[in-house]
Amino acid sequence: MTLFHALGPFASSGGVVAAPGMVLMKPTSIAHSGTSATLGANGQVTFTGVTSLSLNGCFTADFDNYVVSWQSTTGEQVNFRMRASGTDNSTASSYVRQQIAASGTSVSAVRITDDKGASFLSASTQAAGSWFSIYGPYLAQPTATRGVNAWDSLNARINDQACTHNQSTSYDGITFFTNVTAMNGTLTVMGVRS
Amino acid sequence: MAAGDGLISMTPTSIAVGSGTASINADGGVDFSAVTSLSLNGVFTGDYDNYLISIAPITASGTVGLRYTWRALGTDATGSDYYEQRIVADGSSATGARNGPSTSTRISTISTGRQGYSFHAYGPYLAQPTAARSVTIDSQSSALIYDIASTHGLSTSYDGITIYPASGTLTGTVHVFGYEE
Repeated sequence: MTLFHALGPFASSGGVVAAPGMVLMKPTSIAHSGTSATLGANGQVTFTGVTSLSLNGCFTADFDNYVVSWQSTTGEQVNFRMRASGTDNSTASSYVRQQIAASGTSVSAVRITDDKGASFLSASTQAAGSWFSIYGPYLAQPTATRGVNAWDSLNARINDQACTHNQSTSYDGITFFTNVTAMNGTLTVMGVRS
Repeated sequence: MAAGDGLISMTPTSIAVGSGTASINADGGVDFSAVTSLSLNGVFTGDYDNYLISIAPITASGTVGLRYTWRALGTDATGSDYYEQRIVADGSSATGARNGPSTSTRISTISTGRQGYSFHAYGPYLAQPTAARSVTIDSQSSALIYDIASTHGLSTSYDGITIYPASGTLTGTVHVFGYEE
């Protein structure tokens, strides 16, 4: 089974087409630190030179799981915090992330407990993309995320993240931020129909 | 707030094969049989930044690399601008390797068994370097992860892609979806 077959808009062979499997989510508002961020009419967020980008009202009771599709040309060590009613959750040790990285013949892994999660790493002035899955953010239960990433147009690198957040809180938003290199790119949030 | 469909089927404006046969389905997917290469034209547009390319089911005439090049206005981009980083998990073994710069790069490997690939393309139509990532289920009999991150360094806008086996032929189905914005 491909990822598309699990999440895609059409029923599997032999079934019926009931409804689109993924639905574009438009945040009710956004906030940023840095140069600029704009919210498009259909929900795409375009950001330039930002060190943090908050999406409000992008998770609702209509869907359990979500995907963020992200492309950027800059932005390094992009972290995230779940967000409820405009406030980020920075509870100490509430985020645990398992990273696996491949660079050349080196494959490495590390687990980190922190007050923030990590979505992906990317390097300045190079292309990067991420398929960032968020499981159950609006549910009052612990949240899990998974980033499947590609970056570095001068080498190509893998740095994937699985992250859990142990707070049983309902979140309607998320903040992406970096303390290294400001981010330039676009993202969209999609709800996965249950 | 729900604002629209998340994935939009992209119907190629045209297709081309090296040899073999291929046809565009009514829903935008492309079926192909015994092709040495398959080019999809006009599947990336200014309407969307990112795309999901579903390649499944697919089989090959041998165990080879499943390769691709970006394509602009009917011409493959074959300069030495592609890099790949792979990570392979096979039983208790996890290994990595990097290739490039190359004149094309891989989505993954492919063999005679039935396999599936989800291939994410980030910004191919944008005039900036392009990133891509494959998520693969390989080897029907034993299960194997063979994922590849690939990048292309030219700041060129591409409206198509060519996929092909390193040798032999491919048979299967491919479907391109744009992420609604």
